[in-house]
Amino acid sequence: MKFGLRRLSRTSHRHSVWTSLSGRAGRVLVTGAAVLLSATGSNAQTGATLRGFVTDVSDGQPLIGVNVVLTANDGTLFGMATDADGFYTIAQVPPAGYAVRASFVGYLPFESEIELAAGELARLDVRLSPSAEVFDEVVVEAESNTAGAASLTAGLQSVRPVDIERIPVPGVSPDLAAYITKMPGVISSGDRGGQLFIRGGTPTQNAVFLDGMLLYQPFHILGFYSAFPSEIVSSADVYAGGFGSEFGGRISSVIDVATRTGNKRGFAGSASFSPFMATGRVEGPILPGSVSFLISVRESLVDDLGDDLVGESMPYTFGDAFGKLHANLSEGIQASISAISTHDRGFIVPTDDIPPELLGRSDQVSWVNQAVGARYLVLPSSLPILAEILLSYSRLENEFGPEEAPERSSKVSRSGAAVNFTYFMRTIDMKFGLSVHSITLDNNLGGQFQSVDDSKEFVTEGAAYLETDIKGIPGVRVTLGSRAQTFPSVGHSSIEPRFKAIWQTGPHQLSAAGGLFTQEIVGLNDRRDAGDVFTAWTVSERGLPAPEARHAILGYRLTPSRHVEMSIEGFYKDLGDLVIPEWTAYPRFTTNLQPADGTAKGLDLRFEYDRRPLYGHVTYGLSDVDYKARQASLPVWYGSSSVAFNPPHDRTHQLNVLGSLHVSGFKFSAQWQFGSGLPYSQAAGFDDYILVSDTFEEVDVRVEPGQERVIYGQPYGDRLPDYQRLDLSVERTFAIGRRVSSTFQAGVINALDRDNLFYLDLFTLARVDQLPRFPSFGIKMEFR
Amino acid sequence: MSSLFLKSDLTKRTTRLLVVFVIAFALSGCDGTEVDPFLSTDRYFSLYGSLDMQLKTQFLRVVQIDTLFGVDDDAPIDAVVRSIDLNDGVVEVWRDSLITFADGTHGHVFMSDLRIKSGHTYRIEVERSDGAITWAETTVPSQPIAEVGPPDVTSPPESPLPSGTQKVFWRGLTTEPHRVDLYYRYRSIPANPFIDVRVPYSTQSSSPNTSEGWEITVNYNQDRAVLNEEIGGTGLRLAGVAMQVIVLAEDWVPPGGVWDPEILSQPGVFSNVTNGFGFVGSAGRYSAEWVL
Repeated sequence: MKFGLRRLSRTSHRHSVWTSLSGRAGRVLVTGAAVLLSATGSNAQTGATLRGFVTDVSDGQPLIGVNVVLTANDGTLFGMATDADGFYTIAQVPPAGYAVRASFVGYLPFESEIELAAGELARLDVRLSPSAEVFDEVVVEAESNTAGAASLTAGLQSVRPVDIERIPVPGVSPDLAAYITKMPGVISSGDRGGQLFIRGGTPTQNAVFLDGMLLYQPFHILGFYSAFPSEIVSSADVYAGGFGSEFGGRISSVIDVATRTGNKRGFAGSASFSPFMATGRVEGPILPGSVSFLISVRESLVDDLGDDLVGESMPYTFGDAFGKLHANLSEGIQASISAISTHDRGFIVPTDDIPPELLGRSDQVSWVNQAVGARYLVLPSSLPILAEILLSYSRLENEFGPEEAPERSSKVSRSGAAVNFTYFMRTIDMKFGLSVHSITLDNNLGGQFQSVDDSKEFVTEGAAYLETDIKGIPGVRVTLGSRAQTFPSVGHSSIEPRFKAIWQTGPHQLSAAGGLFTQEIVGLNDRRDAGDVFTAWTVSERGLPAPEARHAILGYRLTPSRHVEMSIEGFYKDLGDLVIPEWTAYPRFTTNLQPADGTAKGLDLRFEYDRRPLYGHVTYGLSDVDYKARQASLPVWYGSSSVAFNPPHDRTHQLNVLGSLHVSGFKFSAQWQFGSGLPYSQAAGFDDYILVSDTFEEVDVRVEPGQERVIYGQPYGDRLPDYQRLDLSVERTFAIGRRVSSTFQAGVINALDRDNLFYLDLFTLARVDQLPRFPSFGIKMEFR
Repeated sequence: MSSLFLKSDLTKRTTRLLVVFVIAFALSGCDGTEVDPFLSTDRYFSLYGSLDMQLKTQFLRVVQIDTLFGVDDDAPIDAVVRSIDLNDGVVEVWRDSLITFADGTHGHVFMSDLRIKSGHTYRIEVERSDGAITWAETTVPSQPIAEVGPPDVTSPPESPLPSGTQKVFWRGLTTEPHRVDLYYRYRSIPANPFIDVRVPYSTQSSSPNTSEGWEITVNYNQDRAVLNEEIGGTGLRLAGVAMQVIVLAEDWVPPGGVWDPEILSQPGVFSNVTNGFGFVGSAGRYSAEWVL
């Protein structure tokens, strides 16, 4: 039996790319495109292509991962899984008559017959009807099955709303953040702070996209929540490394979130309430069948209601609002407009724990994300091409200090356009794209970061990529790509080769990925800030190389049955030209910067079991992140030109266990998280320092009071205590008529009331723990 | 029926598993979460000061290394300071004083009438009541012997503005002096018999003549401008000339040769203190006089 595997990456038409390419990079891309197009052009003359969109007949929602299969009379199969738009293309099949079948779990299969002529570009849109029955599904491509806790392919894990909803969170508002922070290799700053470290990368080295819009700080100040409630998420691709050429500008990871479109058949909505937050969602058709809207609003309540529940202040306010218009303009043309706004404000270190005279500052931090984007998807009737045009504007405003007079602020905005094309051929799919963005960086740091003055910078970013998806050998898929990006105003350009390879045979899958990644726009943190929440975005220093990373990933996945899946994946990241805060003995709130190199290596293990009434997964992450600092004074200080250390996000062991059980209509969930201690710098104590200079006559110890000094030990030479948290919840949904349902949830976060350390201020000895035992309840009403 | 039974059995087993899971993790969650941000250390005090041959009283700032930040040092300090002359064994116990600095903060400055001797090594010990000791040792540079060469001058004796040159060789001075000053002494009226004019000499202009000493050339011609400005037209007469060299202890040299406060402030950098931090140095002042 032959399989012609075809699949368009679900993220391929989102993001990036280029216009003002420097000479060499441009020639490489253009030449490569021309060669590939000419080499495969002959195929286009003889084969036939079938393509179209697959949607849910009940609401018009695109269905992702639907297997569409053509079966020839001789039994030969050609197939492809749908992407995030529900789009599929089965390109350049021999002209003949075929049986068409589209199947997906939870839906009645679609079956039909079609006659394809030589050179024909046929279109077949499929609408699937939901069904509770289980039908056989022909899986044409293993990579399409990347959803689920153990489904990991070459660093990519796709997250679907059903995955998100399995993670118990306080209230009835499942959120992508709660899922991602449980993934092995992902270290969060804890229950508060909203910072994610992915496989050794820092939060500012991760790119987060929502419908193609870059969001700079989308995770809320309480770690359960982000700008991505499950109700608006269609899919989220989490690339822990080794991401493709369509992505650039970050050296660690990419989180690419695609949102749902609103219901095109009828109105639907929901409202929920819990001590943590209140939410509302409404969606429906504007022009039934063709134009829809989706609006989601969430606002925190924990600031008002949390205090009484836990007996301590919960000074956090946050919220988000999202809206989307989606239209099927005509056959083969779709357009959408998305907009999002988030806000966060809070005291990372609650000031009531610290005497004001010792605090000496206010740890209040706030940030606001705003973004708007338009997406235009075109399927030309005469070409086997999918084209996408993206326009986007996004901004982040980050402040540190009292609301009325912040000590520092940083604003960054990014606007621009991108075009992406996918050209489908017999054995190769080719993706290429261009983008240009204008970035404004406005920092008012109040004397912070002495290497970066208060400044306003304007930067233009141009990028182009070319990627070929080679599928000539059954079961094997190789993706080779290259990305070129340039920042003309700062004189930085780079060419970044990328690759990915997948070999699928039976239940076994081997995958590998790698590449070179650079980052010109960098985020700087002050290590004295709790959780490093305040970020100043700036251009990497002129005349110096931009931070870069080389990734290598090798993984194995086993799916012995439809209920069990397990995977193991190793990774290695070689990090160069990083910028980290310099070490100083002065207890000041400013910091210089120093260069550093590093490596991040580790192993992820995942196991998932899913068979009603039981669901469970166990994930384990082993990681080792090493930095080598190259501060100019190190030869004097340490007697060597560099000092190796484990940065404060190096968590060696991480274990997450989730179990849920459906009994008598109730869903019981228990989740336990364990993380080994993070590095921190111990101190020998404090003293006063007097500079005994060369003009010794001036060293009059009777007159010179000296300067307060902290006597640090080896940088990050010790480890904080382990982190452990057990969350329990129970949930039940009641149907109220055919269209209305209500869900009740009760639970407790940190059921053991374990004192997990979040922050210990060396200077005040004030200890701030993560959330205490936090009982919660929630109710959600939903209509459709 | 049997499938129902199987389903029920599966439910029981999984429920049992969940209960075990919860209990196991409940037990594992009770371990310690305390953290001590401070290293156990054998560093007790930071010491700052220099022993100066010119001073009748020596001073030493003693700072207790504490785990509390920003606490004013106005409380009594648990420290006894003594100096031991390692050459002759003389032990002096220093007395404490609480200084109020201009910024309102306080500090403990210990003092002693110890007279510093050339070439002697002093050990300054600070002992806590529990016996913990921080100490530093410094050796005062040895007295060099000045060999004043014959003057090569063209001006008449006692001329207030001499011209010409003269070499002074400091035998036994093998390191670059910290400072060199030339003093011109003038006779004045009887009630105020002498007026001294100091002319600083750059140590860079000196060069070791041999490995046995350091030669400094006095350039009278070059000094005339300074002298003329100070005493020109007063009718004073030159009584004599003196040269003073200040020599710092051998270890009074910053690592890397750069006096960068940002670097030198790092604990342990540029320190000769054992079981503590800081620096205790010493300086020798040596003079030679002659007449033209």
